[in-house]
Amino acid sequence: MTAAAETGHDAVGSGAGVLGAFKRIPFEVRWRVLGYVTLLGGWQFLSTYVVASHILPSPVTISGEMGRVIAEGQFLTHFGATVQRTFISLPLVFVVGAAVGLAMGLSRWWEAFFRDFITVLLSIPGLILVLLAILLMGLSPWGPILAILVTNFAFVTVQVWEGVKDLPRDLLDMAAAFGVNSRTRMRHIVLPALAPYLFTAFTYAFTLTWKLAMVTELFGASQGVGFRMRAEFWEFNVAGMLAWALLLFIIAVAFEKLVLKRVEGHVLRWREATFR
Amino acid sequence: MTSTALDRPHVGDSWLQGLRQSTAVPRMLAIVTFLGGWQLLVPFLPTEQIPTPAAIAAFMLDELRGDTVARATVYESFAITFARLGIGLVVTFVLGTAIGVLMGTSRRADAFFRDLVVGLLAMPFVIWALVCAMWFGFTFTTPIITVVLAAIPFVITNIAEGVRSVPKDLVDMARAYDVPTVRTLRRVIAPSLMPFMFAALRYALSLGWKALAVAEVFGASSGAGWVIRFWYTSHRMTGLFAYLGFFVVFAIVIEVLVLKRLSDRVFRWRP
Repeated sequence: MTAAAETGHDAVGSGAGVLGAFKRIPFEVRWRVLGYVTLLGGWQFLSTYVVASHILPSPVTISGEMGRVIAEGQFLTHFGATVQRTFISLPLVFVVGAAVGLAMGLSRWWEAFFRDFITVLLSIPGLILVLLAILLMGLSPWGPILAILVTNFAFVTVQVWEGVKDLPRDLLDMAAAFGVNSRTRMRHIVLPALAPYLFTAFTYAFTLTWKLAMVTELFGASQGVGFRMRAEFWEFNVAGMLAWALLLFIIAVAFEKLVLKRVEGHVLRWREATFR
Repeated sequence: MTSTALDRPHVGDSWLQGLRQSTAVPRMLAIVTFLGGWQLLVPFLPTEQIPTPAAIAAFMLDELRGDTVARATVYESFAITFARLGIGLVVTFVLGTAIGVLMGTSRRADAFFRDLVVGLLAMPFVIWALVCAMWFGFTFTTPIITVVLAAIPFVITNIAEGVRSVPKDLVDMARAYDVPTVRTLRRVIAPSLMPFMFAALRYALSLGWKALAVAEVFGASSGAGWVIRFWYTSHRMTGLFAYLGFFVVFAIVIEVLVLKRLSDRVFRWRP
């Protein structure tokens, strides 16, 4: 059934009263809200009537725990530590990944040189490298950063490599033939063509980095959201662990959707203009 | 005389050029530089902790011969791990396909599940590993559930996309010409769904594999992940490196032997 048919049906069905008001809401919104209600309601039901509440704490308990964590001021300390770790690693991941990707895109020799490394790196579970880095460097902050760098840069590399191979060669040739200087070529041909790939790469790098930062903190840190999660894990406090995890999750997803998406829209606005 | 003098550098040139253009040289060079550099560098490092590649290879060989200090041999451990991965992927595909087809065919179901799936996609699987360990204890099923939770959003999104891209006109035509349903499924729907199934399989495999490793480290008392934890707690760097090696080898074997063959077979209808 198509959207037009749905809305048409809804318009006909709109009567008086609450039911009518409910029916005037677009059906997609209705079903979306229903999804949330089912999830939270089912969860609440399970934790109240089916399983013990210390095993599956209800959403109400967890939000209470979240409030406690924030009110006690623990959250800022540990969240700050995780953010710091993420934002120290992120530029490293991006720069190394982009440099290798650039080399691979521009030269067949380097492509062949790095190819096998990239394949291997993409298949390594990050956790093993984290454990190695901790054994190697103890609790020094560089261990986790190194582990994050090694596990994640390959994802950036793959994107940049694809992007460079996809550069519009005809436009570059034409620009060269018309004697366009290299700065203008860079600004108006190379960067706009690379931008979508760089963006995907950055989003990947960000997502992977905060997740792995949390994993490294589970083992080798005395601060950070991951560290708190481990502590709650050993105390068997499911509500506390979920509260920490969900807080970080909500903030990371909000950052991705609100900040990154917006910047992406701004940087890629030329595409809209071209295809409009 | 002059001709040979002219020819020889030319022949040498083309030979050199061929060498320069072949990708085998840099590929070999990369491996040799990496392993050779590592082997040579180790004695000069300020730490005694890092084993040489030779030591790691020897350790791996010992492991393969069944000579190990861990509780289980490498075969037993990886057999358990692969069994979990297999069961997890089957469950993921059955559930994921059901929800994905629902989301692809009904806009209501799509609105209902979408945010849930997006949330699942963004959730780090470490959380699942920890939560499942707390919920189900250190049992055989804990890692399986982690695999399912980590991989299922990828399967759902891909299948839903695939269902939406089934060529409607071909299905309509098949109906108009009274083509039996089974044949429509087999000849029209399956081939157009296959690339999406395949992408789903790829994602599910690579993510499930990593999630499984994490889940076994935290919430299992057997399997390859458990052995990794064993080497970690007993401070055996060589053991960790060796298992890292096994993981990489298995990942590449799956990629080259299984996925590539399967994709060649599945996509043989393509020109």
